[in-house]
Amino acid sequence: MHAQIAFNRPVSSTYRHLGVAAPGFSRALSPGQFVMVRSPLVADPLLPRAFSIYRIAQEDGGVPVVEILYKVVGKGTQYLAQLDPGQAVEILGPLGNRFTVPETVETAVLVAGGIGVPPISALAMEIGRGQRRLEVFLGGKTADDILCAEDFEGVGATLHITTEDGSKGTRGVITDLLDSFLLGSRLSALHIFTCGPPGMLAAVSRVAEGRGVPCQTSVEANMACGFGACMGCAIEVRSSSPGPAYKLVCKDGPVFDSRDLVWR
Amino acid sequence: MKEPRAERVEPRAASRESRGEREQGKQAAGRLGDSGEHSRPAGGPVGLSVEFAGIRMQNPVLTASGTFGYAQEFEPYLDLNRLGALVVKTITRLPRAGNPAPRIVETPAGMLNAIGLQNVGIEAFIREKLPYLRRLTPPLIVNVAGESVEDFRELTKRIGDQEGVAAIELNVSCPNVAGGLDFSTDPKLTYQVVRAARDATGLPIIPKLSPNVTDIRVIARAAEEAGADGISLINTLVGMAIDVRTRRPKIANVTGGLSGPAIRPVAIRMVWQVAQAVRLPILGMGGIVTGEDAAEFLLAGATVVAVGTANFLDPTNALKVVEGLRDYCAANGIADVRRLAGGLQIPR
Repeated sequence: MHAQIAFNRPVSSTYRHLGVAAPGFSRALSPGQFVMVRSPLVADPLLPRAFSIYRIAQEDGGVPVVEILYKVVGKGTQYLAQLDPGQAVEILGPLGNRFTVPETVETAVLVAGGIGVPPISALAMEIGRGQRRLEVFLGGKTADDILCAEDFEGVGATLHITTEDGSKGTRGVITDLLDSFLLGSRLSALHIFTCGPPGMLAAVSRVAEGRGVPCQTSVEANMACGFGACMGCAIEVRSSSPGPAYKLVCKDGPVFDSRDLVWR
Repeated sequence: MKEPRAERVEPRAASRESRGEREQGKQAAGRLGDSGEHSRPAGGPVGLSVEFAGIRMQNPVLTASGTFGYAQEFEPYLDLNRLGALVVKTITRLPRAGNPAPRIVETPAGMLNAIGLQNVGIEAFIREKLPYLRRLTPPLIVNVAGESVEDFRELTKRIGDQEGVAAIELNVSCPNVAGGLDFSTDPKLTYQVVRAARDATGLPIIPKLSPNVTDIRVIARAAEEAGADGISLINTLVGMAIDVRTRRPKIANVTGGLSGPAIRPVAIRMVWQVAQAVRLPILGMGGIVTGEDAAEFLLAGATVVAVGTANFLDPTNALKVVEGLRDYCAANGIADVRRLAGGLQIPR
C-alpha cells in the first residue's frame, strides 16, 4: 500500500529508526510480524525488504505509523537510509505469524542479538503489561549493537548485556550468560523468545534444548515477496519423512519452535 | 512477418461486473481489420480482449508460472477475475520439497532463483488447488514439468482430463533441477516432449522455452512442427552470483535463473526472432513491470504477455499492467490492443 516516510533518523552510527505513515495499516501490533518495504518505481534495488515491526504508533491525524529499526548493511538499506520524511514508499503487511506466550509461562526469557531486537522489544511491551517476570538478554559485537535497553527497563525487565569487545555489559557472547542463568535459575515455567543473527539463534536453540526450556525463535531469510508466492524463503525443518523438508519463513514463520528447525 | 491469427472475439457474456469487462463491451462494435491504429483520436475506449492458442481472454495480461503460486496467495490483494488468464506454478508427477536455502538473491535490476520446482504434486494439485482455481473466471493454464517424455505424456493426459483447464504450458526449461530438465535446449527433445503432450490431450499445448540456447528459432520451429498451439518465452537465464566476503555462491544451488527487468531486452529480442520464425502465437514474458513494458512485447510480436517477478514486488502489479496497457493504448490512439501485434517499425 502507498505510504509516506514520517521520519528516518539515525540512532547510532549504523542503526536507524524509520517511521512509515501508512493509512489503513493495522493498528494492532502482533510481536514477531513483519512488513515488506520498498520504494515505488525503482528497479534497482528491485525487491522489497523484510523488516520486523518494532512499534505501531499514531500520527496526530490518526494515521498509523509503522516503526522499524534497521541496520545499514547493503544496497536496500543504503537506499532506504537516504529517504527523507514525506517521500513515498510502498509497504505490505503485517505479514507472518507472531510470538505466542503460553498461559502457563511465569518467566519470559527474551534474547536478542543486534538488529534482532525490534520484535523482542515489541513482545516485552506486550508482556510487560501483565504479571510475568521478564529476563532480557541483549548481545552485540560492541556497545553500538545494544539497542532498546531503555524499552526493557521501562517495563521492569531484568537486563543482561554482553558485548564481544566488552564495551558494554559482560564481555563475551550472550549464550554464555544465558546458559549460566538457566543453570542457576530456580525459576519455573520458563519460556525463551529469541531473534538475532543465524549463528546466535542456533546457539540459543542449543542452550534451550540442553536445559529443557522451550524456545520460540524468529528467523530471517532472503525473501522476494513476503506472502508465500515466491517460495524463496525456505527453511529446513525436522521431518520424519526421507529427504529434506522445508517451510516458508514468510508464511509458516518467521516465528518457529526452535525444536522444529534444522540447525547447522 | 507472422500473420495476425486473432479472429474477431465477441465480448464475453456480461455476467461479470468488473470494470475491464464493462469497458470491453463498450468497444465491441468496433470493426477490426479496417484502417490503421492511428486513425482514432487519443483517449477513446480501448479493446483489450484477445485470443491466444484458441483461448479467449478479456485482456492480454497473464501471470508467469512460478511467480503466482496457485493464485490463491494473491486473493487478498487483487481481483483475480480481472486478469487475462492465470498460469500457475509448475506441477510435477510427485511432490517436490525443493532446493536448499538460500534459494533467491537480488541482483542488479533482477533476481536469481533456484526454488527447485517445490510443489505438491499432481494428485494433491487436482484435489486441493484445482477446485479453487476452477471457481475463478479467467482461463486457467496449468504448467507441468516431467523428468522424461513419458512423464510429460502422463501429466498432460491427467491434467487434460480435468474440468476447468483451458490449456497446458510445458515447463521444458527449468534450469534449477538436478538431472537436467532442460529439454528445450535440444530441438529433438523439444519435439518429442511437445509431440507426446500433443498426442495425450486435445487441450492447447504451450511449451515454455529456455533462453539458454544458441538459436531460439530452431527450438521454436521444433515445437511448431510437433504440434504446439502457442509458445511461451522466455524462462529465466542461467546466472550466478558470488559473495566476495565469504567466497561462497549467493544461492545454495550455485547457479539459478535470472529474472526481472534486467532480462527484458533479451526477452524482447527472442520474442521478435521467434515471431518471424514461426506462425504460432507467442506468450511473451521477461521483466514486465508496466503497461509500456507489455506494449513492447506486443510490438515485438507477442499476442499476450505474462507478468512474473513484478508479482513479488507488488501483488497487485499484474492488474497495474492491465491498466497501464489500456492507458498506453488510449494515449496513443490505439482502439484495439491486437493492432499492436508485431507492430515494430524498423527505419530503413
